[in-house]
Amino acid sequence: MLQYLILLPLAGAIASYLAGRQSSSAPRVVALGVSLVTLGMAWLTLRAAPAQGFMREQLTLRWIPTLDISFALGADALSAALVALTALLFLVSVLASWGVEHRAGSYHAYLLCMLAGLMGVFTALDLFLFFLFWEIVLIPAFMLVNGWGGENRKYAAMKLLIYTHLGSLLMLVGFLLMYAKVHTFSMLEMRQLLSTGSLEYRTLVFLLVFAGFAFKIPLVPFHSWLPDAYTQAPTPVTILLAGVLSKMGAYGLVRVALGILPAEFAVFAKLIATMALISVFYAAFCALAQEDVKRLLAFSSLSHMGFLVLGVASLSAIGMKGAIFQMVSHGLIIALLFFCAGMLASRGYSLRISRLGGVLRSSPLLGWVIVFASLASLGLPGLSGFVAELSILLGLFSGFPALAGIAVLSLALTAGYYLWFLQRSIFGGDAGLRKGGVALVELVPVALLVLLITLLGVYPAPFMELVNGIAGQLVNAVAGGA
Amino acid sequence: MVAEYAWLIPVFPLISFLLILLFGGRMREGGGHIAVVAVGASMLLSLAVISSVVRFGRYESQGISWLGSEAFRFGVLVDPLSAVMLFVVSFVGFFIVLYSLGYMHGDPGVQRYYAEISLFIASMLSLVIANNLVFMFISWELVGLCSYLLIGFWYRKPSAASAAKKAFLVTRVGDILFLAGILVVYREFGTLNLSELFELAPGAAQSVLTLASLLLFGGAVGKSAQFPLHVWLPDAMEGPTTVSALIHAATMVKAGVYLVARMYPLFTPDSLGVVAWIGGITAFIAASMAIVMTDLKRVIAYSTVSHLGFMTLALGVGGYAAGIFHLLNHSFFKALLFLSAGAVLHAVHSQDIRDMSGLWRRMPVTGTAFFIGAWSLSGLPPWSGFWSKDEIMVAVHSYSTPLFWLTAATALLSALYIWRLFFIVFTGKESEQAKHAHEAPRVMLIPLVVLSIGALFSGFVSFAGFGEFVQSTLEHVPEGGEHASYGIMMLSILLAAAGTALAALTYYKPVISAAGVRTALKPVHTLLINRYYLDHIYYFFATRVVADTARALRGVDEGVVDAAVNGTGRAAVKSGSLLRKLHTGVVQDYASWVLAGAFVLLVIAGILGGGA
Repeated sequence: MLQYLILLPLAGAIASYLAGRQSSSAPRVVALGVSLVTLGMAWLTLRAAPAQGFMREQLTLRWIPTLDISFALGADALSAALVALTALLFLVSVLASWGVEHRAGSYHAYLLCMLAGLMGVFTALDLFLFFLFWEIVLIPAFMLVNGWGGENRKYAAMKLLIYTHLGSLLMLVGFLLMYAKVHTFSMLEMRQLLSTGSLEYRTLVFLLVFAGFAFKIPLVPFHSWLPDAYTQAPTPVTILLAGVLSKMGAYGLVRVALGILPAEFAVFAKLIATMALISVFYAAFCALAQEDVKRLLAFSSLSHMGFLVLGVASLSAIGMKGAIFQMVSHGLIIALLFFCAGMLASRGYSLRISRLGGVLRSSPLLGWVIVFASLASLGLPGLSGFVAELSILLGLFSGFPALAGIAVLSLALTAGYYLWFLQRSIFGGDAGLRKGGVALVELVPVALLVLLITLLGVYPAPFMELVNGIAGQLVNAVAGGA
Repeated sequence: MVAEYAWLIPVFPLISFLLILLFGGRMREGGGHIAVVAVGASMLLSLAVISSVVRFGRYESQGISWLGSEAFRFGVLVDPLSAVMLFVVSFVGFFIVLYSLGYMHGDPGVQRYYAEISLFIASMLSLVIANNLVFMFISWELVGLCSYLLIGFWYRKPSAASAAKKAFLVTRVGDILFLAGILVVYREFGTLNLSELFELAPGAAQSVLTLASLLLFGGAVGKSAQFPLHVWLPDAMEGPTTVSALIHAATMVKAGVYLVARMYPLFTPDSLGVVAWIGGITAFIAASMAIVMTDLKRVIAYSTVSHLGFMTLALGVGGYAAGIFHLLNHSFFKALLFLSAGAVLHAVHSQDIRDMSGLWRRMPVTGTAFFIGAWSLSGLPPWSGFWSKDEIMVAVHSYSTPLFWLTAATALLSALYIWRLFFIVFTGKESEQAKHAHEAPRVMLIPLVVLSIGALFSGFVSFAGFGEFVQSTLEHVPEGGEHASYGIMMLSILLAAAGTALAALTYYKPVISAAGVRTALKPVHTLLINRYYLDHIYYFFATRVVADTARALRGVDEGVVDAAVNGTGRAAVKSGSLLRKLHTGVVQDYASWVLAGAFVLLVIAGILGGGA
């Protein structure tokens, strides 16, 4: 079934492009249809994902036999969780794009191509295939920012392209070095085969691969593309960039850097955790000083992704579970926040914090959703963000108590910049009354996200049990390999 | 057994929260009656559970797995300590919600008010019956959230929005320490279940226990407004007065004291020493500031801080039952003082006590209620405040002499500031505003009467074995030093009487000139009116240290990191606009080809692999 997660969006992309020639409203219907079916398939994948953390190869084709590249797809709990998140946020993105009229056919075609690529990345079991899909995601992302973005879109798009390409290049060199040693791209076989390599070789490979993911997540100081891309991209694309594309880096970090090179990861764990910690604080401080809502959210996202990496680098089962939980939780919360930013913009509010005000008075429902989303993002217990942060901190404290002691302080900063924003723009201030309620295409995604964030926060046990196996497997690999 | 249904206690107000959130807009009083019924149901069930605890002892449920591992099983624990808290929260809470029906009548945000207040009480109740440290922390934070929303209830007032943010951020500092404490406990013991922790604690290293308990106490310092994190509470007066009453008497600030009492087996002599001194210092400085404030609610707020200090002090010096006893008594007289203050504000539309004078004639019921509250608080016999304060002083006396004299001084100040308030507001010549004052409606008076009875008589429970009951929470009872000493009791009465006399001589029969004292003690007055400059220090830290760091880092981000990237980019762009056009074109081509190729491959894969 996994191949249809990729095929259907691609077919949809063609259909959407063709439909766009007839009318400007047809493509969005195509995209909506595809996203609903994809969501159904993602749900089935999640249900079918094995509790024990082994991969289930569902489809293996000898694709390019001479190079031993095969078209191998599979899903475990981690993949399935990200497939589900991607499908869900894609639906949100499609609904957020409901008003796009300008070259709607191409727009939705690119969006659907991105979906196909994302599904490929999260299910590929062959490194070459992984890389191919990785690149497939990037191109539509570039086209969307470049073609439908804000004032400064050309600059932002080019920066995004060059930057992430640089990362991809490093990663590719790493992959090829791995291939040169073991003569296979199979992710399942690589770990065993690579463990015979020399220390210098494995260290080099690890650093190359890690750098590739560090660009994508991103970690400070490889983040420079992020604020511009998130701000300039059209909101539906920002939802995917922040919600899902950042998870490609995190997924790669877990699946490739940790999964294939566990011993090397363990060597660098403290360094990675330190980098992540710097990211958390650097971005939180930057967020505090921002004057634009979308930039504030961009830096907040950067900070939270740093927290995620802290969980991975903790190399403890609970920290790992927290990191996987954070992938989903952060995806949902940041999507909701950017969706709200889009709703503000579409109602004519200025997104400059100094000029944005009185939202609660003029658009009460939207205002309260923003309050909710901000509280979720600052880690309010009872909502999903807290579960992730708590697990990550518990894990980190068992491995690196000093780092955890510092990390916990960042929660005050996060609360600080969100509450200050709420006080200035949502509770206080005044930007004049605005008419207009909330449309159905807005209400559905908002309700869906609010519900999921609450459900995961109130009762996270089912999700944690789902990823228990894979987290244990990853941590044990380190313990066994080191 | 009734205790098996204890989990329902917070569920009622939670359901009320959801109902009011969804349908309150279409109901009378925004669904206020639902809140009254729900909190009433919680109160009745609490009473039943308490009687079960009295008869059959503690009860703990199995709980459900929250995070998929044993350390995070969330269940219910009711023992004597939680029974007392259940009573305080649900009983006082119920009468405050009832009073709200009158007080909040006609407010446009009344639906939101009852939704938030329901969640507030639900969170507090679940905090009290939680059997797991993380479960407690979740409830704890929800209590904080609700106080944030309720302090900022009138968010259009900038001062309200600002006070709400301050309350959240200052208590957040404490919450972070609490969370750090959880990390230490989890690493040391591998469990967060309270009963298991209490069993394991005696075997753990003292240093670890000291660290863990001090971090947890940090949470209490934030929540219970202890020095130096007390600064949020006096500002938290921006919400409706009923909210202040709830925060001060029944919920929020009692949470910190409860946390210390709950986690008592983890505290070591070292950490208890810190607890005692923080409590003592808090009690004294808050009482000293209460003397110079001119805002009616602010004076009562500082008195709350001071009395929370008493409770913390009692726990620190080993007066476990005394601390909880004072918590119980304080809930009554403080709720009473706030609700009668609310009735006064309702009548004169000002918070400044200089606008109030001679209100007794127009508001006799309110005045009587306030009088009872003040009497009880001042520590004059025979009402409740006297008994618990006496127990605390006895406990402190056997602990440390300097701390004892600090407490004695605070006892004098307590009587002074509360009678000052009473004489200024209710006696003397009728002021302009007072001429239009009128008594509050009946729905507001009933709670005043009930709480008055509580404030008068709650002290007598100590003769019915209250102390032994509370002590039975602990497996190892702290060494309680000497018992009822008449010397200390006499001293305590003497100090309260002296404070009362000073207040009367200054504000009732002006023998002493308040202005004269102010001038004579100018530096002291300046220090007090500026609240020991603590707010200034925090403000400096927030604006000059944190905000400036943020601005500087943003500058670095845009001026250094980004500039380096842009410099490289610009050099590339300068090499020809042709190149840039070409580049875009190339990407598009590249995209088309890659996508087309991938699609064909996938189609083949789909056909061949369909059966897989």
